Amino acid sequence: MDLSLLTIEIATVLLAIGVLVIGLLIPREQRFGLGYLVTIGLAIILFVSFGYYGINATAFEGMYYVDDFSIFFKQLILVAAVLVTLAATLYVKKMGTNYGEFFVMTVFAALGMMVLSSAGEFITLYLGLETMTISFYILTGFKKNDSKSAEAGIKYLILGAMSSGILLYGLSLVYGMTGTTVISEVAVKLAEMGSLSPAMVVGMVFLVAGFGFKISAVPFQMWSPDVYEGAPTPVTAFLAVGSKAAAFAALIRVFMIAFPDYSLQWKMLFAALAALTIIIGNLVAIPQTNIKRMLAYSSIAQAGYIMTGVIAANAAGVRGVAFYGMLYVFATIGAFTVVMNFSANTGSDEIRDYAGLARRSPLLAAVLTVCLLSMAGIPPLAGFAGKFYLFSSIVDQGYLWLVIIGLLMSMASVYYYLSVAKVMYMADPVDDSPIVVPAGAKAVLLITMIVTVFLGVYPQPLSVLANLAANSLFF
Amino acid sequence: MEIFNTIANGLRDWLMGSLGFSATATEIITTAVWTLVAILFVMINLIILVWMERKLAAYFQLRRGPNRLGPAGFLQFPVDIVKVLGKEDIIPANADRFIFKIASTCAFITSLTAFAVIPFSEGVALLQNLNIGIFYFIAVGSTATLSLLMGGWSSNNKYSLLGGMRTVAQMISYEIPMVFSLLGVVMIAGSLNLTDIVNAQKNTWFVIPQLIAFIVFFIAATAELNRGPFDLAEGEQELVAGYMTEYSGIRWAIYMIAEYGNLVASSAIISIMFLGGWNAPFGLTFIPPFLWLMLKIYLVIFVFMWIRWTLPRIRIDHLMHFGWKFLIPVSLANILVTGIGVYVYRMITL
Amino acid sequence: MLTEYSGIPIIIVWAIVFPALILGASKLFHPKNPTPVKLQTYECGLETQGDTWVQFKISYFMYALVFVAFDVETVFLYPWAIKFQSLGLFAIVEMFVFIAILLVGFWYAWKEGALEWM
Repeated sequence: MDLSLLTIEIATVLLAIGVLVIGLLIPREQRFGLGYLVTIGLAIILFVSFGYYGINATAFEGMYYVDDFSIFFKQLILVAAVLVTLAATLYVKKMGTNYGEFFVMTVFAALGMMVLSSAGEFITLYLGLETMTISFYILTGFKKNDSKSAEAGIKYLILGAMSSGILLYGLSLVYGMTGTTVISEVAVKLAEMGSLSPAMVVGMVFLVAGFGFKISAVPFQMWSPDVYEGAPTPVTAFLAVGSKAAAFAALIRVFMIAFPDYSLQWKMLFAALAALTIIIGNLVAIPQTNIKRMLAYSSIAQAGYIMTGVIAANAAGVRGVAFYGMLYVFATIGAFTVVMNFSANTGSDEIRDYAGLARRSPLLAAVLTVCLLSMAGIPPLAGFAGKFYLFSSIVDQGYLWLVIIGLLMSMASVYYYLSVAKVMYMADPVDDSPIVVPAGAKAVLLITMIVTVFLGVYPQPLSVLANLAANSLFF
Repeated sequence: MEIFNTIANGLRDWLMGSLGFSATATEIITTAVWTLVAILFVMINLIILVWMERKLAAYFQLRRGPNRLGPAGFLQFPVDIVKVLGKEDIIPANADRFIFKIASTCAFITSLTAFAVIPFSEGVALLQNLNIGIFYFIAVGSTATLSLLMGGWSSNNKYSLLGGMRTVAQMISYEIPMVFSLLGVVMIAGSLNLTDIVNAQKNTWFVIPQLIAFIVFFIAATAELNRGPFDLAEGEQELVAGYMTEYSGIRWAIYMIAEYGNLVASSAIISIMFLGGWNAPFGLTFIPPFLWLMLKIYLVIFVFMWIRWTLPRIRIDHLMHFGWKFLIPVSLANILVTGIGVYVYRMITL
Repeated sequence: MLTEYSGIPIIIVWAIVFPALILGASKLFHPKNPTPVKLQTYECGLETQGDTWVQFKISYFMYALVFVAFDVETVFLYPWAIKFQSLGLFAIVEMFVFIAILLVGFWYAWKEGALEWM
């Protein structure tokens, strides 16, 4: 067994433990500086991970994949973690106690996501999932003295535990029917069995429900607005991108490798879910007055778009998921960083308080506009390219109706995204005081804006990586 | 001990041959009979131990102790049992009746099931081939916590609840060093089976290479048994007998049986894991193995009683600090040293 | 004697029957005349005040949490302890890494005061 395959994960664990230990050694008030350490550490790991493209091996006798697909998603997670930790440093300082733990838990959540995206076996998958969600339970309720945060933490804990239970039940049913927990062997055993037994169908449905919760697809989305609203904003950003992307990675691996013979059945299921998710996510986002809730519903809708790539069940679809997932990271974290800094200055998350933001802080207004428009899929921005990849992968598979729903709802989404922009640019500010943005957050804002614009104009580099990832899954 | 196996085989032959039982039924009946023997064993030990405890306590305190009934007051406790049988069974009006009633029985179940794996000499145990022997003992032993908490909670008495909670805190705290210290022995013996572990001590008792583990285990066992100086759960002066406050008559007696059963079981485990089990020291093989083990068990029990009646009760914060901040690091270090030691030893000898 | 685990249920049955027997025997002898005063909760002669089943001190819970981490660790340690002699240096190092990770957590709990009895 070659342990060097696991370098990224081992480095992440060491980083987390190292930060925990250092946090204990330095005085409590200075611990917020650990955020920079974590950012640098994660950035180094991200840089190193580029060397792992093209290995396409498995560790632990097939239980753990180290292929381009998992590396791509690990990079996605690392990018998200780097941006979040960089943007969060001062927010965490303002939040009060336990700076060290906040970053340690963030790294552990990232570790769980990495394991989830690499898992080649159900137990490993579940282990990764739990590492991720348990870290998020803690992070969500991190503002101990804020009743909204505590409420969000408890809500997420209860619903998350239930959904994990459902997922686990589904996994155990699949294991019970096939006698193996290794994902690639499930397909072999299923082919031998010839037909789907009822228990197997129940197992698959439970898997869809369990993953559906993690990616917050309708009708399993009920937790996300409340949790997104209550959780500390950096956590919300990480939760929205990281846990969703990792769950998509696991979902793609499970359904495309374990159940390829029954893709017709689960494609139908996912198509229905995707349609519902896109429609409800976008329509409910319109009347929202709180920006975090609005972004929560918009992220539900985004999950619906990403699901179309799963429905395609081929390399083009997976490429679309990978590509869109990465864009979504930048757009979402950019938007949430704006929210984070705005509320740090004004203490408000209401959209109407964003009036005249363009005059108070042109940077914040510009980044928020670019990110929102990218999510809506307006042409020169990256979101357009992503949606193009996603929709084109299913259009020739008889899912034209879904594409039409997606396009219509994208147009609807432009309405509520632009109404935020309108408030920011057209309305007069209630309070003229400029908004102070710390350096770290400023860097994050610039990065997200530049990447979003750049990839919209020139998507080639990312799409090469996404292609690699997709092809490694269908070798 | 040959005689036990002879009896068992005779019983088996009689059941299968003369009475025509099937093999399974024979096995069930044989085990049932042996369990009854184990219960009798516990009861006989109980009688001896209570007498011993009272006598020793008296002598440590310069008294005479029971001395009226029978030789040296030996019949005092059998008579006490008869008295207890005639005592009224009081269940407080506020108690959680169901849990209150079953709590003492639960304590007895854990006590008796813990006995099942203890081999009293080569091949004499209720479950003799249980390959996870010591692990089973730990697992069953740790459930004892629950029955004490059940008693403390269901009494609906503040002293009882405090006693029950303290029992839980104390027992889970001392379970970790206890389990870790046994690990050193398991690492050297390479087996969890108690018979194998005893046979591995033919030449050297494990108390010599594992002295630290032995001391840690002894202390932890004292705490697990709720005996002085760790008897905070019962603390007569502060908690009026803790979880047992509301118990009276025969239910109280069942708790006592379980407690002394645990004492014998723990002492037997100490003798087996560290003191060579039924192996005779200095080549004194004319004493049969069974008696050797009993001698060692009674020696260990004597030390338990000696400590109990010598040292004052410690405070709960000291108790917890001692367990968590001293015993656990020490027992972990012991694992580390043992691991390296065994590895180096194997490198030298192989 | 029965093989391995099948003897355990028999022992448990006996362990239930035996207390039941002596409880039954005691029932034949013991008097039964409860009075309200006799059935009161005994709290050293004072009348009991307030509810007993209240929220309990949090530090008990902290110990229980740390305990769970250690208890799960032992489940991994025991199989390792049996076989580590034949597994060689790799197994030793790996287990020490495992213990070291747990020790970091233990140290954290210690330093953050989870092990203080307040």
